Parts: sequence; structure tokens; C-alpha cells
Amino acid sequence: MNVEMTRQISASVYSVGALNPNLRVFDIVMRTDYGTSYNAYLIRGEKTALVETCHNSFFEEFLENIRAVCDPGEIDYIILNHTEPDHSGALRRLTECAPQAEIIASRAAAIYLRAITNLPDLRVRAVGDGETLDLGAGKTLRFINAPFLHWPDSMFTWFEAEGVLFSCDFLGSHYCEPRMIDTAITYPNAYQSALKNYFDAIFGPFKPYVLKGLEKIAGLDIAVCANSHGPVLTKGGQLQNALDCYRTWAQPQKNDACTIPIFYCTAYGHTARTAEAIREGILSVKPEAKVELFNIIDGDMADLGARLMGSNAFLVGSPTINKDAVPPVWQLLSHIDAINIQKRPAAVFGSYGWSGEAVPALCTRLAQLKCKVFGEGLKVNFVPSEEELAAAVSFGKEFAESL
Amino acid sequence: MAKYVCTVCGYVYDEAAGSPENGVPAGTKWADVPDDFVCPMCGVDKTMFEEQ
Repeated sequence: MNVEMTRQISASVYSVGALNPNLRVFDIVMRTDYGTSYNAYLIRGEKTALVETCHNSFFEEFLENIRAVCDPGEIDYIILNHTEPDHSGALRRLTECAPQAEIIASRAAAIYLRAITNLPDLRVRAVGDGETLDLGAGKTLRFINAPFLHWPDSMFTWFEAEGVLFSCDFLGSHYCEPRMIDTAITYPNAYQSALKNYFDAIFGPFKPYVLKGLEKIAGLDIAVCANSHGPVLTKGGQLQNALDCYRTWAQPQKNDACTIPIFYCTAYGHTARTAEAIREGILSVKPEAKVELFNIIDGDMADLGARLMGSNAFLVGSPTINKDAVPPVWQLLSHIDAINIQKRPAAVFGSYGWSGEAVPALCTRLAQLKCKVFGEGLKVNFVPSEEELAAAVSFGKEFAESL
Repeated sequence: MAKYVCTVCGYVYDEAAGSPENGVPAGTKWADVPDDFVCPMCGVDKTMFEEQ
């Protein structure tokens, strides 16, 4: 029985989510050195609303936390601001304990819930921007459509009477704080790094939407930001810092000059020599461009990935070893943010011995990612000859002219 | 008749077929599809579609 885990957040709002302090990897790609929490909240008016559920593995704990506040049979509404399984996982089992509850979510969320719960009779009320829900006793909730923070389904719920914004993943962090409030954070530097890592991993591809989300809440007098991971953020606590950080981190990157990085791997220097010739060709057309060469194995993969994403156009070069491009090149491409790379001009090159699959394989992959791939790439056979180097210079020129 | 593709999930709206289960009869041109139409697969709005 976890009465201590049930915290009162405001006069009518109780935190009833589950802690996961031992989590070290979230959804495959994020390291979570500080664990996490799956936050959920009960709002008590004349009617009772539950905001978010939690990860299915923590259902029993979650149910106990709810029971410390009310009987599940008293829940009138289950509001889902977002349907990712760390928030919706417990929904199906919860509906068995709370069959009377009406589920409220965005239109996109209502679509996703069909395949998340596999319950054909699930009743979901789809709400749009500005719609309200009256819990009685002067307690009204307003829904704020907030797509791509970080799924198409995301929205915020605003409880004006007590200044509580249910922002779901927005302004969240994978940081397990058992006391659930920002003023209790014991290691503020650790928390700040968790906030930044969370932003980068989750909101990195959605910066314009982050700025829109900040605009949508700018006029609200928020006392508590009741997010879905980590401690709640309070006015006078960490809230303003988190808002300021989000605004800074979401600023679009502007390049002073046309930036065209060339990333390559090279076994004997032949692909590298080709890269140099291509660079010469690009600069002959665009002398003001910033065209840097990066030997991938000498670089930090995250840094190279960021440079690729920040480019105006980019090139990738690889030799062919055993019918494929080499692993560090594929590893670099795995750092591409597929949402934001669309229509980016890109070109491929490489030296090969007898089969040369690397260049077409890379062209195919970049085309799949919806880059604007230049021609069919450039191949040189073993050691680039004078003619092949001249062709590489022309390739660079023509690529630059195509931009 | 033209086709419009959802840039988020790839769903294709074919003007010839419409989306009758979502209240859009067959033959409805994209411009005439209501503004509150959402992608039946992923729920995003019309602004995320482009002509195929």
C-alpha cells in the first residue's frame, strides 16, 4: 500500500502515477541514468477525472495509488493527453476496474486507441482545441491541441481554477524524483542534464512545434506544470527555467554560409582523395560555401550527425567492402532525423574494386529518407586516375550548381 | 482525378474513391474535402497532405 507515493499536487489534484527508478534505457534509444516516473493525476470535483494512465508493468502499483484517493468505480473520465504505451499501457486493464469511465483524447489519439487496446467497443470522446469539460464545483478543464509534442495525438489539459497544466511529455524528464515535486530535487545538475537529454531525444525533431506549444501556454498563469515524467514543475521552482530552456533549445539553426559537409570513410586514401576533388569542384562554383571534410572514424558520431542535420546539403563517401558500404557510414546515416531531412540535397561517392555496391546502396537509402539525391553518385575504380579526379571535380561542380 | 498523400504516414486520399466511411463521398475533390477532415490512419489535418 503506497500512500506515500500518492502526493497532493493542488487542492483538487493528486499524483497517482508510478515510479521506475531502475529504468536505464527508455524505448530502445534513450539512456535514462536517473530512472523515470509514469505520472498520472486524479482531479476531484463533483466528478472525478484521471489524467494519463501508466506503463502496463506498473499497473498494480498504479491501481493502489488510485485507491488511496478514490475507488476506481468513481472515475468519470480518463483523459489521455497522448497515447504512447508508457501512458496508455495500463488503460485496458483499468477499463476493467473502471468500466463506467469515459475516455477523452484528441482525434488522432482516438484512432490510435483502437489498435492499442484492441477493444472494439471502447468509447472515446474525441476533443478539439478549446473544448471544455466541467467537473462541477467550479472546476473546468480546457483542452489545448498540441500536435507533434511529440506525436500527432498530443494535447494539453488546462485546469484554470488551480493553475495546473497537464502537459504530458512536454517539459518532462526521465528523472525519478520520489517526492514528485521540483523543489525536492536533490541533484539539480543531474535533473538539468535529464531535462536536456529528454528534450534532445524526444523534441529534437519537432522544434517548430515546441515553439508553437510555448506560444499556446504563454498566456496561462501556471502554478504547477503536471507533466508525465519526472517531478512536477512549480512557479517559483523549476518551471520558468524549463520554459526558458525549451525556448532556447528550440530555436532554428541558421547557417552564416551555405554549409556542405562531406562525410567519408577511406581504406587506402582513395575515397578520401576523391572527396578532396569533389570539394574543389563545389568551391569553384560556390567559393563562399563552408565545405568541410570529415573522416567518419575520426569524429564523434553524435557531432557528425548534428553537422549532417545542420547542413544545407551534404555528401557521403564510402568504399565497397564485401558488397556493401562500411559500417561507420551506415552508423552515421542512422543518426539522420528522417522527419527533418526530407528534400535535403545529397550526393554519394566512393572508390571500389570490382563490385561497387556501396554507392548505389547509399543512394537508395538516402532516397528512401526522401533526400534529393544527385544523379546516381560517383564511383572511382581503385586508385583515382587523373581522368577520374577530373570527373570528381565536375561532379562537385554540377552538384553545387544543382543547389 | 488526383491523389493526395499524407506526409506523416503515407495514407493516400484518392479523389475518385473519396473516404465514404469518414463522410467524404467518392469523387470529392481535395479542395472540397472539409477543413476538419483528418487522416484516417494517423489523425493529422489537411495541411500535412500534399499532391502525389
